[in-house]
Amino acid sequence: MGIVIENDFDVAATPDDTYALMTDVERVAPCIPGATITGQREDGAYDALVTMKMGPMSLTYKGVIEIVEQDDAAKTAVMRAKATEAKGQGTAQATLTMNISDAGDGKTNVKVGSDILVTGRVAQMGRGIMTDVAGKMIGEMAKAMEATLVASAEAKARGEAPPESVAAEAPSAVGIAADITKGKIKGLFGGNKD
Amino acid sequence: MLPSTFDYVAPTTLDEAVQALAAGAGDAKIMAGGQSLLPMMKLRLASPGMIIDLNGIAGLDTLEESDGTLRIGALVRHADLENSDLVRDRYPIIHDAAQHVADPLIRNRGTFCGSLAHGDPAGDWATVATTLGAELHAVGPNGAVVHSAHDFQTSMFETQLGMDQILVEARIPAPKAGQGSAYLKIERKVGDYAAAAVGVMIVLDGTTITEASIGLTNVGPLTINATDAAASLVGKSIDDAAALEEAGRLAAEISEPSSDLRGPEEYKRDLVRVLTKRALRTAGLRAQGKEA
Amino acid sequence: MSDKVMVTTTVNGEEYEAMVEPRTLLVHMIRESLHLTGTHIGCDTTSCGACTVLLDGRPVKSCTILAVQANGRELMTVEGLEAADGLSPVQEGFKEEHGLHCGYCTPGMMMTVTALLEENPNPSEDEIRKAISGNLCRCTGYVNIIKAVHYAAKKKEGAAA
Repeated sequence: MGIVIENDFDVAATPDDTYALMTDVERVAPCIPGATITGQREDGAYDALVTMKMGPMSLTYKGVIEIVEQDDAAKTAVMRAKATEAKGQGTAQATLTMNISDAGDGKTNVKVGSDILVTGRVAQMGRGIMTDVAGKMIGEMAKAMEATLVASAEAKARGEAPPESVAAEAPSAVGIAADITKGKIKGLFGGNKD
Repeated sequence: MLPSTFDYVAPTTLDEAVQALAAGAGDAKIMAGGQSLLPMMKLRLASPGMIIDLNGIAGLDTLEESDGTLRIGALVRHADLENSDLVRDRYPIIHDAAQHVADPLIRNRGTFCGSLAHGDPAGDWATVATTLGAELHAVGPNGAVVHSAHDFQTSMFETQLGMDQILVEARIPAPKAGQGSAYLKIERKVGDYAAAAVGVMIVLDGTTITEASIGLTNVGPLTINATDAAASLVGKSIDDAAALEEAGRLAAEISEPSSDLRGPEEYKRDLVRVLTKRALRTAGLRAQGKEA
Repeated sequence: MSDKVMVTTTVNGEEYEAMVEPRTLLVHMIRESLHLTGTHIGCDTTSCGACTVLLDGRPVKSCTILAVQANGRELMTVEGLEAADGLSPVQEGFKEEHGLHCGYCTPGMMMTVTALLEENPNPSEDEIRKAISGNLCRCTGYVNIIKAVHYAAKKKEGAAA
């Protein structure tokens, strides 16, 4: 067990559509800040690249993302990403456990539990900044997932094909200082229940 | 380990440095003390393609009070602040914090401005700069730019300083009559980041607090400006124990510490509560011209 | 790209020239180009202080300075402590008070305390502890190091008298 982060949000979409999107790696991967899918393997797993820039430091994680568990009836799924830093700065592994349920009123509740393990020098850097970086990234991912689901549901309502997934803001662009001083830090982790 | 290779530029004027930085097109880093950047480069966490060394530029080591402002130039070392009588007498929060920045050897090279520009989220100087309302003066290809310490740090190791700007001086308002300040840091050992640290600045009229500012180090992703805690003190007496207790409680409440090897979350929150009260008492004594 | 550059330094009173890459650390130039191996490397994280030298009289960690940054400057390493007439007061203090076991931290430790005594000829125990807080010793527990500094302070005072 590494860094554990819980996200919880409701979207105006059906549980079926939500589940379908959340278990489609190709459509969910862009929601991870700084991520690009670079290819698909024979076994269905996806090759991906995640780049992070923090001031003078820049890290590039190369790895594999796949759905490792899936229960269509219960609408739960587990997605795992395993990556190695391209310049030898360690490894990162993330296990995302997703629970999709009907929230009533035409809404669906999405719970994402993330378990993140980072190794290497960067994990020891400073005061444990990777905890904050991971928290920020997962928060942005959840926001992007929600935006993607909303856009997808709206397109469906208009009878159109689902649009491109919403890409999350890359970590270096996110300013969290303002959120802290305004006491809104909980919003990053506690979910977006608008 | 060794840093990866880079081009090295040692300009003798600020203009040359600004031009070199622009030419570096985002792959150049400014180096003054290098006590934060070089450790990253040695571990290859950072690999700038060009290093622009400020140490050969004259006039960047100003440390003086003039026109109602304390000027701290880009080449002023932590040790210069630690050993300055002016700083000890008039800006005790800086004097206090300087004792706890890294260790004496690093303090002989590292710089105040460099530390701010580096943007370490657990840095002590960011709290001091925020608490004192510092103005950060930079130069870029389009001339001078001024940043406020309050918004300067935007994320981990990221600041408002544009990629083509050099932080050349920090300016701190001279203390008002009745002003006192203090910085208290708890660290497991010398050179460690704070388990928690608190910086305060107050202005007294008699024994009544007319202004207050409280900054918290390393109990959140970035420096925290505890505005509610500070606001709760205005109009209260420095001798009002309940008011100090309330400020401590509010400061602890706004903090968001992470549990780690330096201690669990509850411990760090309580450190904030206690250090806030102690720092306020010390600042109060200093504001009244008494021995703290 | 990063061709070598000439770095000229005055070390222990003698002028030296070395061709180094910009990324060469000062400690590597001292040890490998100038063959002054008394200065040690004890960590990779700017923590231990075994590499301490005096740069223009101030104790610094030479592992966290680029060699090029020392161009035109004055350095003193542990090899420069001994005078024509014998060990320096600091060296004698470490010897007499058993201020070392393995000796790995010792050169850096002695450079730091040499600088301390220049600035503060009669430091208290607290002042000594603060001054050496950037130099880590795994063997001695620091007690005899402090005694060594007091010895050196007395020796210097006696010599000055």
